[in-house]
Amino acid sequence: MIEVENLVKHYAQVKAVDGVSFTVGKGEIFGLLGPNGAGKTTAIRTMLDIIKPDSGAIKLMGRPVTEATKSRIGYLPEERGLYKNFRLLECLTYLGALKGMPRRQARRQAEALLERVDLGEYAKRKVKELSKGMTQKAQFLAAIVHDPELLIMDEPFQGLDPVNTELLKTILLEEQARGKTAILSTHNMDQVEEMCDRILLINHGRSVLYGPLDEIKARYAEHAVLLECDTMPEGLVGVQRVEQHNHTYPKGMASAYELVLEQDASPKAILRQLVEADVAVYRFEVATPPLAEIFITVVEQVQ
Amino acid sequence: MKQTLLVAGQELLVNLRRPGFIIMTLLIPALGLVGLLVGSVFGGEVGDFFESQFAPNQTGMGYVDQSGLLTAELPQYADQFIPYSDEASARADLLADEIDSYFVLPADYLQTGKVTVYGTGGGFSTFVAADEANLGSFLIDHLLAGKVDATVQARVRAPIDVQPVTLDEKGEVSTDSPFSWVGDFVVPYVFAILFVITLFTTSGFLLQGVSEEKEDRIIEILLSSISPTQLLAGKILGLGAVGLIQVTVWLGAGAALLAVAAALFALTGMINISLGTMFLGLVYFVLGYLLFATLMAVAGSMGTTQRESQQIAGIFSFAAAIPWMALSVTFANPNAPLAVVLSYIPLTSPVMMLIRLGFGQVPAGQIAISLVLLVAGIVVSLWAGAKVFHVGLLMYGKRPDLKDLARAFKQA
Repeated sequence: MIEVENLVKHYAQVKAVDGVSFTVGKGEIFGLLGPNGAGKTTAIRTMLDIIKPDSGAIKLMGRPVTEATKSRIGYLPEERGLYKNFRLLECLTYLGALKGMPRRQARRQAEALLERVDLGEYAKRKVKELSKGMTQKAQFLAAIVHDPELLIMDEPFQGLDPVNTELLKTILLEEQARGKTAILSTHNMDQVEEMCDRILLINHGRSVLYGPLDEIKARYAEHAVLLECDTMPEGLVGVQRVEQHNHTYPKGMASAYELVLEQDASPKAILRQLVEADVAVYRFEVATPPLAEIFITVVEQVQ
Repeated sequence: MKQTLLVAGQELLVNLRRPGFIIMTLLIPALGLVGLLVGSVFGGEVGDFFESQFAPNQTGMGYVDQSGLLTAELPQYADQFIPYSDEASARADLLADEIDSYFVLPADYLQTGKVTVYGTGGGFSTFVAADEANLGSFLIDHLLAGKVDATVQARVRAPIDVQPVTLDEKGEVSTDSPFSWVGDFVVPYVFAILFVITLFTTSGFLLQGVSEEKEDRIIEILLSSISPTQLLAGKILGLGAVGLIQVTVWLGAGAALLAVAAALFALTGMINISLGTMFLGLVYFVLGYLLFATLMAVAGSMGTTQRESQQIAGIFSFAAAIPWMALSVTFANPNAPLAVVLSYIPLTSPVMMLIRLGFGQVPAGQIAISLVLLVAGIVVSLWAGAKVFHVGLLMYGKRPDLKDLARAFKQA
């Protein structure tokens, strides 16, 4: 779907993007991550042909970006904006039509989407009269109104309450189920863990982490398991030390532990011992650090 | 192309709904209508009223004849000219406001022709009071009375009464009314002004539109759909259509008003603009619009706010105002060197030429040179403008400086 090879873009003295390569497959939700000023927006803008790269090749859907490919992409930029003096429906229709969709079809599509996100009654209102949350939702719709094959979204759930966040997430996952591809750029690591299949983490314009999310998490996994059970049996073989996380349950009920394993022990062997000891296990999980932790580790390493 | 037309259509729609446009478009014909109504109701009275407002309230002019050439005062001049035997008494009466002014005919008047006019209240009022034509008649009559035949004397006083006859191509006497100067001069001149107004309202709307889009932060979404060139072309086309609609409304209303005026005042042959002039006017309007629209769009893309954009655009507007400042020169001589030079510089030539075409004949060679230079200017400004437009559009926090622009030219 997307092939980016050795992308370089300089601004004056700053290397905004410095030799980044990645591919995104059809139907994927791909996370594009990085600290502020890492070069995410520049990378996205070059993909959309808004700015020209200094060197490197970008292919979308097997071809270099042209006006024709642009119409198959939906873009939600970080800098939010709609025509403030237009009526909501008119604004969405125009933006859809600019992407090459026949006006009437764009209008129908916009009407349906507005109903879907509970903005139906605001269709004739001017954009400037809407609340911030409504504008955010409208902005999201502007990116998908022309039914694009590829969605590029920069912080799509910013400024939304949990209900609306869930609503838009559902819409995005539905689009994925219909075979659409999405690139998600966000600082919210929970959302990335929840939605993304693969990620690219860039820092100072360079690629520092790239691959399937579970692989990356496994790579950064400590050799440990998380365990929640009623009584912690003594003398498990292969456990180096036990750390109790008592905050999870009130005293006297189940407790949470992190078991740090010895080098040659396997989580499977530990689980077998627990079953043999007839312990009531509520949760058994190979410990992987949250993505946020990996993010911080990697970014600080580079610095 | 489809996208360009889409942008054009949208711009047309948005700007036709602008209150500023609607008011401006209707106001001009409304003013014309009001003028016509006032003219038809009051007729000549209006003219008299204005004349009485501006003509000085005359009490008469004194004179002192030191040459001894004048005969005794003739009765028909008695209430306008008052003879004084010496200058001191004339001066005393002037200071006492008994007379507006007085003149002294010196002893060597016959050799030099010099007449000294004394007045109060500064140069202009002295000059008005002197009213050369009237004074001339007075002197002629008092110098020649009794010495030549009365009819000769009358002829000397008014030696020429021009009877203009215009021959058409076949040598036939043209039937133009004596009012054809209205058609030859005033009407094209008014149209020239209207053209210039439209030119600047529409390119001003373009500026406003671009800076609104920048302030609304919608540029990035637009550029993810279409190229900056398509955006620029669409805007220029759309607002060009807006301008043409305005001009068409004004020309239509103007033609209708003139037809009514012709019927009301029984004038014929008043609308007498040659098709060639009209066509040239339109050509300069379209070319001038292209040039200024491009420049305004670029100015709009460069500023971070509307106010800032307007400051940048002010530079171009000032250039366009230069021909108006030079109007007094052009008025005296439409082919003065200054007017010719201003007709060649692309920034001033559309306005200058529209004015000059209004005044009458412009040499074909000058039109050719000016058109070539103007078209070249448009090509350059479109080429450079598209690049600056692209760079400027994506700059939000700051205005692109010369370094940014230089880089843009290198990259593209």
